[in-house]
Amino acid sequence: MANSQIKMACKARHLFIVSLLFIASTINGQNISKYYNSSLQGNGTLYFIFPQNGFNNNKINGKLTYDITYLTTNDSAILNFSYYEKLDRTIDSVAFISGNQRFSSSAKKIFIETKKNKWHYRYSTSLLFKELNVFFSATDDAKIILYTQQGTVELNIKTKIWKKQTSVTKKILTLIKYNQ
Amino acid sequence: MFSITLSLVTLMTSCATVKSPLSGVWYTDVKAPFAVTSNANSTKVGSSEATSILGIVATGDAGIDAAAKSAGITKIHHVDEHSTSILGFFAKYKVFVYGE
Repeated sequence: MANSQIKMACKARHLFIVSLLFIASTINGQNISKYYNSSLQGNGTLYFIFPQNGFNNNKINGKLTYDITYLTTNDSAILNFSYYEKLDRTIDSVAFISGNQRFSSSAKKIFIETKKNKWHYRYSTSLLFKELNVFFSATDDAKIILYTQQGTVELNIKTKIWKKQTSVTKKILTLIKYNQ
Repeated sequence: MFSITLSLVTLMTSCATVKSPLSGVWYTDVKAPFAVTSNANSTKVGSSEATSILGIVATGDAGIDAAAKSAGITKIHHVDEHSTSILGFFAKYKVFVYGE
């Protein structure tokens, strides 16, 4: 009885180790293909960098996720973002700050909905492709500021998360540049 | 007790399944076409997703409408799907809508 239990435990341990090795081999920080899509269009290649999160304001429990769309024949990229907060707001513009670089742009509403007990604000903004490169090249901490009619909202990101986001996004932007 | 736990874990794995044209028991990461329309060119992309954990909890809205809405797309060009699952513990289904 005890013998069979030991054998089963060994088998389970082997299965667990093999599973861990397999997961470790698939979770590669520099494997950027799982972070974006590209589609060949008549007027260039359309790139879509998947939604990323991490920008938060802990005081008001606000959080922001963003995704980036870029058509290679255009100068600017579309940055769509979702902002979740309990207060109702009207967002006018947004500023992206990293290091001593600051890029501001007006925000265009896509829709506003409720999600659980929060408001879901979905807005669209655009940044020049060059500006996007600069924003994701900075190694310093970044922040996003939302300018609303009810005041400004500052959203910060943890250094570890930002470093991972910049490393992935920078690599995708470099890939786009090579294919332009 | 160990046998019961092992049986439970074994029972729980492979529970989080995901819709996909091809699927692997250990790992799935498959992109596939979903739909195409006669509309020309795309300038916008929207995405939506749903996730499942152990096949016990599954949440999200992976609808075409949700994806199109997220990017303000009114004319759809084509739709792709992306299925991911790891050991049946975790599964994710994403929909990408291209259009303008």
